[in-house]
Formats: sequence, C-alpha cells, structure tokens
Amino acid sequence: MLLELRGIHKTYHGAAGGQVQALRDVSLQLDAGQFVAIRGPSGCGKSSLLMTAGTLLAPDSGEVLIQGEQPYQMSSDRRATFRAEHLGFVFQQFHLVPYLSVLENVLAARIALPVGAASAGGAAVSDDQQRASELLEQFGLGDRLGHTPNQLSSGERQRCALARALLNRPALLLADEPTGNLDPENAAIVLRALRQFADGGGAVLLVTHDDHASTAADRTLHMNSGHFSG
Amino acid sequence: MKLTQLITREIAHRKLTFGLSVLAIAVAAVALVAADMVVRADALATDRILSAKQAQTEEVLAEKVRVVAAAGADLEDAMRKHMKGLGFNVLILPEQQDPAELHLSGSLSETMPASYAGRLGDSSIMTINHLLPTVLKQVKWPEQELDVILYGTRGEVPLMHRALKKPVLDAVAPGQMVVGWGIHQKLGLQVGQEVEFFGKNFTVSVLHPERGSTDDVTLWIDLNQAQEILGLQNLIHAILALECDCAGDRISEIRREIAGILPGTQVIERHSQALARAEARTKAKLVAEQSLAAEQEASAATLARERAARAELESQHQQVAQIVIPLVLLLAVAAVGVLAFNNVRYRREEIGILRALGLRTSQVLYVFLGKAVLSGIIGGVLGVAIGLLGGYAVTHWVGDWPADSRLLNDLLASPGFVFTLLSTPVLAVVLAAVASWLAAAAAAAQDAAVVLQGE
Repeated sequence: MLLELRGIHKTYHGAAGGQVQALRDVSLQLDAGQFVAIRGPSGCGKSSLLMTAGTLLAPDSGEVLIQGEQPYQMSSDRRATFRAEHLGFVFQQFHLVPYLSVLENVLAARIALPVGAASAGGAAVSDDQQRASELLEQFGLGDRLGHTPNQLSSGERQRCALARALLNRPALLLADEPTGNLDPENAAIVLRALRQFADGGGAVLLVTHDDHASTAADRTLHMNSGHFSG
Repeated sequence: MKLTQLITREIAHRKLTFGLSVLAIAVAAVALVAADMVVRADALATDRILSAKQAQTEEVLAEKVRVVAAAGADLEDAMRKHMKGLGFNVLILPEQQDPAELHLSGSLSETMPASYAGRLGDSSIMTINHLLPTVLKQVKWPEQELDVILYGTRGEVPLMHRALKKPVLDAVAPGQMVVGWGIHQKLGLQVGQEVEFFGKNFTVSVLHPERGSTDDVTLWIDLNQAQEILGLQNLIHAILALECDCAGDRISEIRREIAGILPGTQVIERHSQALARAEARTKAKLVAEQSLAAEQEASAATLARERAARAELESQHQQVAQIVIPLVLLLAVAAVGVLAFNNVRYRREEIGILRALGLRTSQVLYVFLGKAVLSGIIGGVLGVAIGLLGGYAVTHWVGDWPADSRLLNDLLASPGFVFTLLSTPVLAVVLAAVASWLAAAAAAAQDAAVVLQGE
C-alpha cells in the first residue's frame, strides 16, 4: 500500500471560537499505479485531505501511512525531507517562484534534498539539470527554459509546476485542482501527464470539482462535509 | 539549484528592498566609524595642539631665561666694572678712629698693625674682597710748601681661599709716585720727572686726570716708603675693601664677619654711585626674574585652559557620539527588521511552496538570514569606506583639527581604530542578522498548508 489514511479527523478552530470540521473519519487506500480523484463542492474538505496526505497538515486523530511509514510520527525536519523524497505537488495556482527561471523553478525541487542524495527514482543529483530539461521538453517548454513565470501562459506555468513535481520521481503525486485555471487543451495535457505518471507506477491523488478531470482517474470518490459519501 | 542561488536570485529580483537594507546597515556603520574617527581625531588633535603650544611656550620661556641670565651676567660684569672704576666701598679702621676726621680732612690718625691685612687675607671671609692696606695722612710737602694727602699703598693682599683677581688699584712701585690732578697742575709736573719728597727722590709715574675729589690733592707712593716718611713702620691707617655683593643690606654681615677676625676695628661702608647703580640693576634683575616667573605661571595657566577646552570639546563629541550611535543603530535595526518582515509578507506563497517541496526550518531560516548577512557584509564594508571618507572630511573641513594628511595616517596606525574598522563589518552582519531574526523565524514558522490552501 502506497498511501493509507485511517480514520482521519481534522477540525479548524476559528479565532472567534467557531469550529469547522474539515475531515471526519476519513479513510483511504491508494496503491502504486492508481489514480484516484476526489470530487466535491468547495469547502467540503478536499484540500485539507490532500494537505494531510501530503504531510503538511497533521490530523487531530487517525493515521497516515505512506509507503509503510508514518510521517506524522517523524520530526518536522525528517518529515520535510521525507516529503521531498516521496511526494510531488501540483496546485491550481501553480506556486512558481517568480524570480526563478522555468528551469530553476523545476530544479528548486532539489533544494530540499541533501547534497549527493538520490531521488526516489534513483537519479543522481548531477543528472538533475538534464532531467529537468527533459521534463520541460516533454511538456513543450524546451524553448522556455530561461523565461520567468510571468512570461508564461497559465497552461505553461502549470506544465512547469508539473515538471517540478515530477523531478524527484516521487511515489505519490498530489494535485489540487490542477486544471482549475487552464483552458481545455492545457487541462488535457496536465491530465494526460498525471495518467502517464500513474501508468508509470506512481500514485496520483487528485482533488477537483471538475467533472472532466475525474474522467482520467481510475476511481472517483465524492466528498461532502468532511467525509466520503456514496 | 542551491539555497545560495535562491538568495542571490531573490536579491536581484527585489533590488530596492535589498538596497534599502544595505543602506540602513551602511548608515549605522558610517555612524560608528565616523564617530570613532572623530573622537580619536579629537584626542590626536589635542595631543598635537598641546604639544605645539608647549613647545612654543618653552621656546619663549627659554628665550626669556636666556635674556634674564644675560642680564644677570651683564649686571655682575657691570657691578665689577663700576666697583673697580668708582673705588673701594668698605673701609676697615681702628676702633678709636673718628670717621669725622676722614670726612673733614681726608686724613686718618689712628693706626692698627699692618699684619691685620694678612690676617684678613688668610681668613675665609666671604663678604669682602680686594683687600688693600693703606696709610693716609694729610701732610705738607716740605720741598714744595704744599698741603697734600699722602696715600701709601701696596699690592692687594690676596684672599687665600679665592682665585686671584685683577686688582682694583694697581700697586705703586717703590721710588715712584702717582700724582693727583690739582698737584701736577699746580707744580707743572710731567711723567718721568724726578721730584724730591721728604728728602727722598721719586719719579712721577702717573698723572691722574681731574676727578673732582680728594684724589686731586693726593700723592700715591709705596706703602713702606709712606710708613717710613710718616714714622708708622708696620702700622697702617686703614684696610680698603670691596663688598662681594652689593645687593641689600650687607654691612651688618660684613661687620659681624670682620669683628670675628679683626677685633678692635670698625667697618664703614662708603655709599657710592656704584652702589646705587648696582642696587638698581639688582632690582631690575629681580623684576626680570619675577616677570619670568609670572610668564611661566601664565604659560602654564594658558596650557591648562587649552587642555580644559580640548577636554570639554572631546567630552561634547563623545556625548554626541554616545547619543547618535545607539540611536542610529536602533533605527537601522528597526529599518532592517521592517524590511525583512515586509519581505516575508511578500514571499508567503514562495515559503509555502518551498516548505511543500521539503525545505526544512533551518533552510528557510538560512534563506532569510543569508540575505541579511549578505546585506550586513555589503553595508558594513560600504559603511566603513564611507565612514572613513566622511570622518576624514569632517576632521579636515569642519572641525578645528590640524589640516594635514598625517591625521589619517596616525589614525590608521592606531590599533583601536583599526579594530573599529575591522570589527564594524562583523558588527554590521550581526546587526543585520539580529534585525532579520524575528522575520526569518516568522517565515520558518509559517504553516505551508494554510498558505497553500489560502491561495
């Protein structure tokens, strides 16, 4: 099992004393090679689930296991390194670093890894630049390596973000509305890339409210008010 | 991709923010270096000014000392010349001798042993010198039917405990005669002329010019011959002497000393023009010495005032530095801190994604503190350079420091100032890091999940 969530609960406590139950007894299993889409309306807890699975949001209760390890039992620094080694992220807003070039944005994924360390896929750090270039070439950005994000279209930015997520050959790719800001053509490119990643042995957890996006997944789970429905 | 590249790319992207941080640090470094330079230049300038004034004062005083010393030497010389020129001023007479006789007739009648002169010469008397034993008697020159004063004299009796001095009055050789002006005018005498006096033959050796005193009616012959003529073998009327020092009332001291050596004698001081002049000169010397002392005192006071003024100036500059430096440092810390917080606020999204990419807390701190350290290094070095130039400008064109290039050289030779120059960039780095620490900590503590969801 690559990802396993067991009975996850997460509640947000507002400043005014109000509470929002983002996740209520959520459990999920995801194997290598699987592409799972989670759909639901805004505020249903999809992103919280993704963040929890991405080791960025500790649950109030429940267990998270990734490749048999419990990242929330690790120290903060160890968990960060674990995240860099095993997980990739794609967001609706791309989150590219504005002052880095396209190539540098992709290579930024390597900053967190210790010098000399190999990514999960086994690539040596010295090969990073070549791999980053290949990924960008693969996503049609071979001629935009030196450009900065503000010189790219939305579709190009998301493809750049996708290349960054894939650089370290993660085991699990977490995508939060990756097609939300894209035209159909670019959305199709991104979904195709996610599919290929899963087909290549990786696991993809996609949260979206886009009907079309979920068609690329092996299975779609519906979420409502913090738990899966149906 | 390395963290340092991330730092340099971000600096290049937000040049203004980084530039302002560097500026704030540089201003603090400038204040530190310039203030230290001014304070140290103060001390150096004080040393130089006081040394120059001290040297100038010493030079002036040395000149005055030289003038006073010369005046003293002149006085002594003049004294000697006057005393010699105007005659003996101490007269030692037998106790029974009425001084009125001398004043009325220029002659003496009481006698004392001629050996008294020798006894005085052998003593260690200090208050008189130039001892001259004499006989002095008004007589009628029988061959010429003329009243004259016969002055029998000989060479001066040496004072055994002193070096020989040039005699005030030259001895008259036996058989020779020195003739006063009135006598040789009346008798038409010439130098070398043979004359008979009390049946003895004498050769006129000197004719005195007119003196307007009893000298004009005096004949000087050898003491022994005079004693023989007067029937006073081994007896003398008086011993003439010169006071060693005419300053003040010395006669009591002279009397006391002579009474101990020659009992049964009296001492008369003859007030002369020489004494008056000598006293005036002594007084002048005293005034000059007092003036010198006053000048020395005034110079010392001037130096003390200058020293106090410089100390006051240094104190003022130090006080200003003590206020300005902490204030500037505080403002610089505040400015860098605000800029750092602003930077963190602008980079929330970037921090979120970097955390998602696996950056550890220490790496996030490194990104922000690394930038602060870089701004500290650049600002510190720039500040030191500008501070040096600024301090140099201030010490040359604004203050009252001596305007010469040695000042900077002297400062650079001072270990304390070199330490300031070297430690300022280090301090600037620490300052920038401390100022950015809270912002960096806030960045590191940022919750990536909140940021990424919020976006």
